[in-house]
Amino acid sequence: MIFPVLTQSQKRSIGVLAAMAGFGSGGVLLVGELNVRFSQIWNFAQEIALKNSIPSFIVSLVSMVIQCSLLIGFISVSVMFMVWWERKISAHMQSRLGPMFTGGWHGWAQTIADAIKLLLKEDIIPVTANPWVHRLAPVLVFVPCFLCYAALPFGKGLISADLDIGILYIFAISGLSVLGIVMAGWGSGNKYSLLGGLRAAAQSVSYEIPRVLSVVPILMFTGSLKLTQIAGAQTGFWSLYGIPVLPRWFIFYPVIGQLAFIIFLICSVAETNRTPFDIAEAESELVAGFHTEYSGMKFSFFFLAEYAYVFLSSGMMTALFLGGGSGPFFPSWVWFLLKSFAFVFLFLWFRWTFPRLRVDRLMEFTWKFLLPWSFFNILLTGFIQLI
Amino acid sequence: MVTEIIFYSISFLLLLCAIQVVTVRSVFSSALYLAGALSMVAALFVLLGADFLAAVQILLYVGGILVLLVFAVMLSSVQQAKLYAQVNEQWVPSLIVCLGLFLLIGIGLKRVSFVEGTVLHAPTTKGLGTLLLGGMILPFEVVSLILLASLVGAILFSRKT
Repeated sequence: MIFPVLTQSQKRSIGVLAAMAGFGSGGVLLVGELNVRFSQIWNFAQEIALKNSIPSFIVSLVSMVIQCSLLIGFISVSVMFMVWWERKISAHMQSRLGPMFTGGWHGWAQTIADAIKLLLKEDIIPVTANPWVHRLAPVLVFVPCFLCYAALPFGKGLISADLDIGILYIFAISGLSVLGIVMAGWGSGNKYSLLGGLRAAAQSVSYEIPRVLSVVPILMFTGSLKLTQIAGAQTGFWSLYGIPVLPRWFIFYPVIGQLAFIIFLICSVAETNRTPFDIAEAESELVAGFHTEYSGMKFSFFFLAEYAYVFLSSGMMTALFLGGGSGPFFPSWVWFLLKSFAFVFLFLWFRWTFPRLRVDRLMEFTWKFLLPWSFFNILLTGFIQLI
Repeated sequence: MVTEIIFYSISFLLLLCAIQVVTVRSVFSSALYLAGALSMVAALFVLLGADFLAAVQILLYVGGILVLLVFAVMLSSVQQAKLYAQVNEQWVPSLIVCLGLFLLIGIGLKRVSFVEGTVLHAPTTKGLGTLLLGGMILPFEVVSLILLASLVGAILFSRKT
């Protein structure tokens, strides 16, 4: 017997997935490039404003509010999907089923139910805590993450702020979240939280350095800090004897591309405090680390920020190493999302297959391995540029 | 008009944070206010059109140096913050010194005439790069040498034996 016998439910699942893929690609082709649609809506809005003599700054203000709402909506929906996905993937990696009941088909509504539960839960501030620091910490963790999304190119023309210092802006602003984690650790007035905060501060400062330096070769090749320009420089193909072999993505650049990618990937996993680098919230040592004392909505903000950072790192990797939204047939935003979620899967895969690193080994790994190799990579790029 | 409102509100917040840094009781809170003050300086840079400088200010000062500072301050507990004040009995002489410095700076600023100009919101990264590796290469290298020496010195002093 070559083909495995499928059970009734497996057949149904395959049917549902095939139908989703079919309808999805049909709908996507119907919608086309999103920036075209958005500019149509923009022109329409401006026409209405002209007819009713509304001042132009109100139109641009409303447009900003709409852009922010779109980003918030994208973050929350994608995080909901990622949480469900993580639970399903982890379950299947451990020969379980994961959530199966809520919503009917493979527990798809589980995260929605969880979110409603978190909204309704009692908000607790411990007696020993510093109330203001405790209250502000989740906000300070999430807001920088949201700010970073403004400079993320979701495809052709789909970027709310195409900054000239795009990549540097994302690195700078995302570094602010550590302060929120440290505030949570100190403000909770709990020794486990404090230890978690201390570990988070040390880890993120150490891993930030090779993370920034690993991107420098790409900046040297493209000569720009603009994310759209970096993504745009990777269109076309690497060809061998005139035959196109691989897409002209930076990840396929011999040696330098792979080295930069691996360093960036490892540091991104460390920056999001996920296993194997989750010493800041190590369950077996620190209860839950810096968010031990949080419940309800505040806890869910930490959760939201963690997953939003996973997607942000994936999106950055797509723009830096996989040529952003370049690809055949489908519009660019679909390619961007497909590539990014492939990286998200990589993050989830890491979490459920690697054991946690010890604190001293974690530090040794970044200072004695990642940092020298990222310097070497920059040196190599310099030599190649000189030749 | 809008720029002026933004400038004055940012400056007000900056001064507020700066005063809080030296007056607030808990060391940890004063570190947080310092983060606020440094971020406001970055906002002023943005307002002046220095985008690269603003990003580096956030990246190095708030994301790097301040996190290390907080790392050291974190070991002060929540309860300890309520017991000790930051200000001791020497506050009158230090206030006089500060006022003298303030007057000095004020007089200095009064004597210099500033050239009126409009802010150009153009990318600054390229210009900075060519300047640092072109005309300003010698000071740039000297500064990096000093930093390297201080790094080596810090490691030398913090060694156990």
